[in-house]
Amino acid sequence: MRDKKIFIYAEDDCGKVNSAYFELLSKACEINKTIEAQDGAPAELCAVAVGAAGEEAMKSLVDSGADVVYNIKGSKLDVYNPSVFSEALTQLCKAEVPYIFLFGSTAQGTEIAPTLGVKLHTGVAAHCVDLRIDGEGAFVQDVPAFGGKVIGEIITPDTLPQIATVKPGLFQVTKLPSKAAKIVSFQPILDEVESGGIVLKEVHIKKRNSLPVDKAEVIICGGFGMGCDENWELLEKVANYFEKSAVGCTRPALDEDWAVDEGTMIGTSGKTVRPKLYIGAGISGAMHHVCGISDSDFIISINKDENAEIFKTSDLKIVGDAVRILTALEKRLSKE
Amino acid sequence: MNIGVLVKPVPDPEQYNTITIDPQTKRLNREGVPSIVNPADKCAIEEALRLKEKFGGKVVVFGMAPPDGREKLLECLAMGADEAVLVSDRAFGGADTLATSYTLVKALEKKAAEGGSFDLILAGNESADGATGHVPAQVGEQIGYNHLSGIVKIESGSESEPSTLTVFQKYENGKNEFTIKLPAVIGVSRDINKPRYTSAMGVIKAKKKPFDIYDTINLEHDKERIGLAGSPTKAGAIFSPDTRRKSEELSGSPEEIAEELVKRIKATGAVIVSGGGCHER
Amino acid sequence: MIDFTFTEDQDMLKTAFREFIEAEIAPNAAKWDEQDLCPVELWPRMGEIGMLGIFIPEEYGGAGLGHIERIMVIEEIARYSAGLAIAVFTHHLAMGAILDGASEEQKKKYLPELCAGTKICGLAVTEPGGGSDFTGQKTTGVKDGDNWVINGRKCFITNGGPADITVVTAVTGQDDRGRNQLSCFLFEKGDEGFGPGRKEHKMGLRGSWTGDVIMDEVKVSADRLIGAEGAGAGLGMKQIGEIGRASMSAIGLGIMRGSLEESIKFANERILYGKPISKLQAIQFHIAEIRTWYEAARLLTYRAASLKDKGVSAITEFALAKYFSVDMAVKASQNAIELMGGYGVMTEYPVERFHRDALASISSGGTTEIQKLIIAGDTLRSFKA
Repeated sequence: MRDKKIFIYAEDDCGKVNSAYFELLSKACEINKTIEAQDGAPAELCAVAVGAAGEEAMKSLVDSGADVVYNIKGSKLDVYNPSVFSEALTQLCKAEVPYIFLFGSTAQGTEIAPTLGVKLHTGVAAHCVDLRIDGEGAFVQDVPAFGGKVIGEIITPDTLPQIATVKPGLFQVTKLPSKAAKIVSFQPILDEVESGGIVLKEVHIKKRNSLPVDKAEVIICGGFGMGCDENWELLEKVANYFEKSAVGCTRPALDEDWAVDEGTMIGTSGKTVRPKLYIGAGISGAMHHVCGISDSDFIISINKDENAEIFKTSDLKIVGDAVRILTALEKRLSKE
Repeated sequence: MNIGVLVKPVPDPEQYNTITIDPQTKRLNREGVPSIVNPADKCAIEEALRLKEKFGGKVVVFGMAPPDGREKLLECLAMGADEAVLVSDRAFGGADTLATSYTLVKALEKKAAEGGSFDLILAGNESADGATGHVPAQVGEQIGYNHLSGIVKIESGSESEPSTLTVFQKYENGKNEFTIKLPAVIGVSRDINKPRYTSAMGVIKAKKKPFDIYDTINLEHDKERIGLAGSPTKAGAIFSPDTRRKSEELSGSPEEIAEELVKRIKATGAVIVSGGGCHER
Repeated sequence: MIDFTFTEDQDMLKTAFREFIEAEIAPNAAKWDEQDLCPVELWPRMGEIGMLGIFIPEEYGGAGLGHIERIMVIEEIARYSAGLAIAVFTHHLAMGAILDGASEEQKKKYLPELCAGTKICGLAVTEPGGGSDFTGQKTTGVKDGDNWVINGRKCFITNGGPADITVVTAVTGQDDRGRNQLSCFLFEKGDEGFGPGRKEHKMGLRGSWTGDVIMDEVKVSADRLIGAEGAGAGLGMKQIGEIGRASMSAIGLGIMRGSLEESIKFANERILYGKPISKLQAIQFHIAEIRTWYEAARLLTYRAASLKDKGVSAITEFALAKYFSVDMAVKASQNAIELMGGYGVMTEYPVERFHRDALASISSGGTTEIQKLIIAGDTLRSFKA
């Protein structure tokens, strides 16, 4: 008997499915093994797409390894509108009563999830770093607090769905075999919903010169210890020697205006990254930054303070002036 | 324009590295870490003050906190807010975001009934400690106003008091430009502005400004919806993530270090592009 | 006895100032010291948050608070930059002379801009012949019809270069016993014949401009006379004796607190034999000493300020505070250097700067010997033999 459903929000990302969906699906699949062991049957894994999901997106959802794809359609759902989207999702939840509903902590996810929490009067766990079913069958959501210094377990024991948001980039994507998911169309009743309160007028897409940090395999990250604007360019120069690389920054470097793109900030209030190689230059290692890099494969840190916190989280530590070391590294790389 | 601003006292984020968990009691030890006004909430106050300077009206700060939260609200008054409401009662404690926002909505409604309704409610997008980012959306939803979070810019036009604001929301690929009809609840990101410094003149005036304290006696509420009872989520165990690695030290001259680094870098599988011309990264 | 705690408003004020100082002053203090640069661009910003006009009544654009709050400003600045602290208190010094001596019209004209920090001011008393020998001054002011003509050279003048407004003492006559009588004059930047001369290079308190101010046949009208003719010595002496010494005490406090906080930070971070050195008794003794000196100097300084706020003359109390606070700041910063070992003398750490600043503070506002003369004079008079 299959009575539990796990919903995963499939957010539109310029006609494609946002990568957070695949990360969450992989995690849901892992959780599902425990559910199956405990209940005798796995939960149904359901993709939930709102609005005009295109052919390409639908195909990738059907083949993603989900059991069901809910396609919520309606005239007011063509353009993203948080209040209308939330209402549509509420109606689907009321009809289908999912056990768990997962969202990526994207701008959409972090707006819709807490709104659903109110509309369905249920709990929402924010920016989870891990999800699991414990021995008693409770859905345990690990949430970070104090910039990631502390992780707390959260459960939602009495209400459904148990809603959680997860930072994109945190869970690894496992390629799942296609189950040729069944597409279920759902038409919410949205006549009463005011759609004029919030109107999306324009989407300003930021042109990037390099990969977004959460997609990069090599990250050269600079902190306050870089000292000035001119030194900051050194990070770019070093990054240019690597394929699929990006320059990241910490909050203080952003505050100093050395880094201009807030989207390159790594940490609890920025991006979570998991590159093959992370090089941190002049970074002290405040917990809120460390949390964002702790899943990197290999971490190299350069700081002149031998007691810098960042060293504790590093595979390789170099006590020294970041600018001098990076200059030498750049020179050495030029001979490759 | 009457603006309500939601603020929260939080332990100073600069000192989160000193927060520990007691190995015996498994409780949080934040001894010696002072409270400050949540940094993003100060940005919300700043934004409110700028709107007030443009269109007139008043700025009322609301904080749900233990009694010592009074000091932090006084700081908000010193910064320039006109009135403060401290929502404080033991029974409000242990609330998750749903119960917290319910309680704040009750306080907003009470204040509005006494002193005029709010056109806009601003809050920091998230608190530095819990950082859920839920409160603006959940307050908006419960009070029945339009709501948006993650706002990095608010445009209010230059003429008369607007009925609609243009706001820019940070999202993964750039910015979403929305119009939002007032009354509304807006969660602002720290990137929206740099809050002003508090002046000595502001400090002197702070204590002379209206200051209300709402508790379970004077604030009408459903007791099933506040505090622990009103919270669908329950907190379980806490632990510190272990991020320690072996921290092997490389030493020598910068050149020697660079030589060894290249070897280590190659071992990670990172692909080096000769000539460093990888501009299309 | 008295309650030695600050009021809630004073605590709030400290929090507010610290936020500004930690963001705008702390990160730049080493640079100002290294380049000997006075950050004049900060004046309007300090004015805006009330640091400059803190003790000036509201009617003249100030915050209307007292000298306890004023000293708090100086201590908080000096925690990070003693150099900037001396420049700011010199601004206070000249404002004090205007507040105490000037006519209503003059106050209304000059004080608001000085409170706002759109103009910078200084007080010029010391001459090459010496600072504390007031009446031996050589600068002269001679009446010429309705005007005054001033000639002379002042030296070691803080803010002499950047100041828009400078209050200067000059000899304008003799009393019946033949002693020089002084008057105070106010000069504006651009007054013909008036301007800064040579800039000095100091070992400490860098980041404040110190040097000569020259008056060469400067002709000004009578409305530039501050206070009554012949009242200049008293007016100047009062500012130096109270605002000047109080501020030097506060600078000592700032240096001591800096030495203490930097020592604690270092002792907690520096690991020797697997433990932070703060666990070692020898290190703890250094820290305990600095703390004790700091607390004692704090009591002396704030008590003197509270007397001034009550309107009681506190010349002796400020002398006590200045002598002790600056002397102990020298010792405290030396302790911090010793505690940090080799790191203590490196310019990468601020404590060597604190020590230079402490040493440079000895002569300002009267040397230790001058303070002792004042203290001894009062003690011989007021204690029972």
